This record gives sequence, C-alpha cells and structure tokens, in this order.
Amino acid sequence: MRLHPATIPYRAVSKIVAVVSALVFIGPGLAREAAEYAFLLVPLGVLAILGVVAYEVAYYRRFTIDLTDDVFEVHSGVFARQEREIPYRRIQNVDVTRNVVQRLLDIAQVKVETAGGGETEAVLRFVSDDDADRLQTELRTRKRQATTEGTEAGAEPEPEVEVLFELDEQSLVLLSILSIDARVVGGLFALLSIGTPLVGSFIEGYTGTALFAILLVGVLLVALLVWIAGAAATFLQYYGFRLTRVGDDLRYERGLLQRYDGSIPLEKVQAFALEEHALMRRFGYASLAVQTAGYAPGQGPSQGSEAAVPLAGRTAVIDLAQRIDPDAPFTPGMRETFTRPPERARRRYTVRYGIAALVLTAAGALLSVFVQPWPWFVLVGLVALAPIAARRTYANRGWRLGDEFVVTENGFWKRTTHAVPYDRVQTVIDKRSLFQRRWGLATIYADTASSTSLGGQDPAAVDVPLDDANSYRATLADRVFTAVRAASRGRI
Amino acid sequence: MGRTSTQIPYVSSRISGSTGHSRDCDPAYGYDISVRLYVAHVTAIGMERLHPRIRLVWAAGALVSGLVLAAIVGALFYLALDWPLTDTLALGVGLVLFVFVVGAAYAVLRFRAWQFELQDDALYLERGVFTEVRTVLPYVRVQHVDTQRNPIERVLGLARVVVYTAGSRGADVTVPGLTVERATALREDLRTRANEHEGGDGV
Repeated sequence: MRLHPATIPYRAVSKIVAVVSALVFIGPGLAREAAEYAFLLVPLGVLAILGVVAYEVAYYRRFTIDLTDDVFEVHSGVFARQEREIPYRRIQNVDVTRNVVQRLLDIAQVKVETAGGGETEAVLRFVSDDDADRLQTELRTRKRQATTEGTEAGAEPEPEVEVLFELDEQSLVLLSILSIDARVVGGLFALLSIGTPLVGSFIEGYTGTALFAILLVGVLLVALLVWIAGAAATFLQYYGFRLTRVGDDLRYERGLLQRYDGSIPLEKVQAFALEEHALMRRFGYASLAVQTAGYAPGQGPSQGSEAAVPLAGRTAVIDLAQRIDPDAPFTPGMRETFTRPPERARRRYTVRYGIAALVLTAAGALLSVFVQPWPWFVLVGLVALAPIAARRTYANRGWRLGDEFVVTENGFWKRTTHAVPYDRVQTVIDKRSLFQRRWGLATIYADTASSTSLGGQDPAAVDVPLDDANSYRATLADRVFTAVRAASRGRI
Repeated sequence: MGRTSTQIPYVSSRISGSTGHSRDCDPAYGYDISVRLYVAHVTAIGMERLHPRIRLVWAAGALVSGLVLAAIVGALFYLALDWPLTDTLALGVGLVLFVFVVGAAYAVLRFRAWQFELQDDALYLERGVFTEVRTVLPYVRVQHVDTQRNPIERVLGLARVVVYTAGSRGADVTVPGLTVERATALREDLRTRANEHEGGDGV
C-alpha cells in the first residue's frame, strides 16, 4: 500500500505556505537592509519551491506500507531511511484524523500507537480515505487475532458494535454554552495583553467611578467574547460525538472541521472521572471522562483524559459509567457515603480565602493611592464572600475507600469525582504542607499512570485528619498490593 | 570507607545515641563506627537514613546557585546601573554568603527529615522540610532503577538511586545521599524485589 498521490501537492503546499508566512514577517525588514539583492528573491524562491516539490515526490516514492503476516511494516525517509516493523499484538490504537482540506481531497492521516512510550509509532501522512478505513479495520482485526492466538482456534469474527452514547444536537448546543475551560482563561489573558495599549488611549480623561465602570464593562465584554469563542471551539470539537464499544475497546468519533476517530482500550483505563461544573450541577448535568495510560487520542502526546460522555443528565451518565465498567462505583446517592474533611478544614478555607481577599483589597488600595484613584473599598466586600467560598470548597471535598475503587471528590467550579481501581494505583503519596500541619491535616494522592489535563484535578483525598492519615495511607497501599496480586494471578 | 561492609547503612545519630549531626559529617573527623548499625538493627530501631555527607552535596549546590545568582545580579548592577566595582563585589559576596547560609541550613533540615525503608511490599520514603511527603512505592510498580552521580556527588563519593514508575505524579522517586556501594546494593535489591513482585506490564 502507498500514500495517496494527493499527498505530494498537499504536503508541498503546506510547507510553502509555512515558509511564505515566515517571510512575510521578516521580509520587509530584509528588503530595507539589502534592497540591491532583492532581485535574488525570485530565483531563490523558485529554487526553494522546486526543492520542496522534489522532496515531497521522493517522500511519496520512498514511503511504503505493508501488512505482512505478523508485523505492520512502514518504510520511509528520503535522506535518512527508516524501516519500522510493529508487531500486530503490540498495537494499541489506530487513529484516523481528517481536517477540512483533507476531506475535500479524500485523504486522511493515520496514526498507529503502541502501549508504552510517549510517541506515536507510525504516522501515515496521508493515505486515501478508503485506505484509512481499511487499515483501521484490518489492523484492529489482526491485533485481535494476534492477541487471542493460541487460546482460541481460528479467526474470531469482528465483535459486535454496541452504541453507548450519541450526543444529540440539543445537548451539543447546551454543552457549548456551558463549556468553560482552561483555554478560556488563556484566551482572556491573550486578549487583555493585546488590548492594554488600546485601553490606555481610550480611558484617558476619565477618572474615579467613571473609569472603574468603564473598565468593568470592558472586562465583561472581553469575558463574553472569550466565552463565545470557547463555545464555538467546543461545538466544533464535539460535533457528531458518538461512543461505541467494540469488544474490549471504546471507540469514539467527533469533530466538525477536524474529524477524530479513535479508540480507548478498556484495559488501559486508569480512572473514571465524573465532572460537573457549577452550571452543570445547577441544571443536573454531568460529564464522564476516562483517563488512560499511554495514549489519549487527539490530545497530543502520550497521556490524558478523554471525554466518554461530554454531557448528559447526571443519572444517565452514571448509568453509562456502569455500562462501560459494571464495577464502576458511581451511584446517584454516592456523595452521602463519602467521608468529609473535619470541620476545621472549612475554617482553614475561610481563613485562606479571607487572606486572599484582604491581599487583593490591599493591592487595590495601593493602586488607588499611587496610580489612579478608584473606589477600591468595594473589594472589601470580597471578604464577606470568603465563608461562602469556603463552604463550597468544603462541600466538594470527600473520599471513600470502596471495595474495588478509591473514590475522591474535589473542585470549586468544576467538581471532579475520580474513581481509581486499586490495581491501577502506581504510588501512594501522603503530603502535609506546613499550613496543613498547623491545622492537623494531610493530603493523600493515589497516583496513576494517567496524567490529567492542565488545571484538572488529581485523584486525592484532600485534608484528611492527620490522626487518620497514616492508617488511611496504609489501608490504601494494602488494598493496592492485594488488588495487584489478584490481577496478576488473573492474567496467568 | 574500606573498613566496614557495604551492607551497613548510616543510621540517624539520634537513634544511635551518638553526639550529634555535625560530628559524623565532618570529613576530618572520620566515620565513627558508633554511628553505624547493622541492617537488622535498623529495621528494629528506625528507618535507614542518608549518608551525612549529603549535607555537603546540598550545601555545595546552594553555593553554586549563590555564585550564579551573584554573577547575574552583579553583572546587571555593574553594567546596567553603573554601580562602582567595589560596591558590586560587596553585593555579590553578600548574596553568595546569604544563599549559602540559607542553603546550608536547609540542607541540614532536609537531611534530618529524610529517611526510607524497604518494606515487605513497597519502598517507603519520608522527606520534606516544609511539606512533609511520605511515598509508598509498591515494588510491582518499579519500571526500572538507575544509579546516578552528578559532579558534586562524585567529588564527595556519593551516589543516588532513581526509581522509575509509570505514574504521573511520582514518576521518578530519588533516594539521594548513598555511598556508591550502598547505591549499587539498593539498586540490585530493588530490581530483585521488582522481579519477585512481577505483575503484568506495570500499568
């Protein structure tokens, strides 16, 4: 099998576009510095384009894909040649991605991932649409045959496809509206940094309350913009989301402009995370993510968490978790069974938020005195919010050592309930900061091989009473030993 | 170093009833046999501690950071703010001294907090001055074990053992401040235990 011929123009054009856009940045400066040599640009440019095209033709000719009896073979490379053989049984995922242009050209990118190791084992840029689907099916079939070989005679038929979840349009719109994630904060900062000089010239001449009001409106406007952008991004990302189970794999498809099609092997699932942010809690919605080791499709390198159910009613999500793993410890009333931190933890949060509010007020006052007078004393009101915020943090913290899972709950805006199977825990870490020790508290982490996304929560029992921390850590570790022993016996 | 067996780790002088920390880290004094106990005793009395000389490693690290900081700040003040050379030098020396003293004090506290133990199922570590951290690392989770030595450690004859897991938070656990023999022995020991506790692919 070869790449699709359209690969040559597609790759060449995208490279040339990259070079040209770089030149647009440095070009004007260069032209001023060395105007007498400007005529050279044209022949050089033509030469570069010819070079790129020649390279891409060679790349295409050198790239061969082969499905032998027991390995997947990829030969590639123009200057440095590479011959890669991937045994079928080691293949973990075969992902197909297509963006808009690629879909017009009927080509797709195929990524082959194996367990362990942070990087993708083979990337095929690009094969024809049909070849991509054929490869995906074929590699999955051969992987299954390779892994079941010896235990069962003959080839196994393709297991049935069970549709677990489909995101309908109404839910998609709701999800987009409700989506507030880390990117929003990043976008906010980017907009503010661009906008600051503009604001400077705009607010000149205003003082005091008027200035304060203008800034407030400005911030709200920026927030609104960022929120709309975030909603649009979510809409594009989760358009047409569909989760299915095929044998021991979860498969999902999603995306409008960039279409992802990937799978999560159930045996690699490290943890389930039930996520509910403030707005979702208010309206009884929740989302479910599975955290995997070794691979998170569409999320770049190696590890992460992938939405299994982007948005659905809370009870529906809990039902789905049970369908994915019958042992999953999520139940509608589970929160009542959690152990909560001691009452003094709530006082600790009150003090902490109170101090934060006071620091902010002080900063506001300094700003008012030295830079620009404004009604800074409104910030004092924040202190009154401290107990409310503390109660919220406190109410969302809890943990339970279940029969097969350790379940923990954390989060202020977004409450995340993690369920980690004991045989997935890598290390048990017990941390007591200086401040925690003063309050007689400790945090116990159940570390797994998955890493959560930026700003996400880790499975941790936060603010366990110090008196219980040692026994809690020991119990958790004991259950991990027992579960791992049982699991390895099961494998043999 | 040659007098005693490699199986003998260093034990807290608090536990062994010796005269104190400063004595057993002073290279001029030599290594008093009274601060050493056999492994069998260690498990009965307390956990294994790092070699006292680790304090010198950490303090030397602080000295290096102090010098780098002083060089940067000094260059900034001398070149950008046109400070006289003598004032700049005085500032630099002051900075180096300050960072070194703070770093050395921190090294002593860090040494006191550090202890570890090879339990039946897991490597257990306690460490941390401001934030106390206790890690339980089950042997089945060990992916591989390294011994490493940086230049300072090599000058002072120490090594450290790095234990890798597939985890994200505690992906690599480091036991610093071991003699070369102890580090090698610990590495072998951990490897053997990891093999005995074999359990699947580690994830």
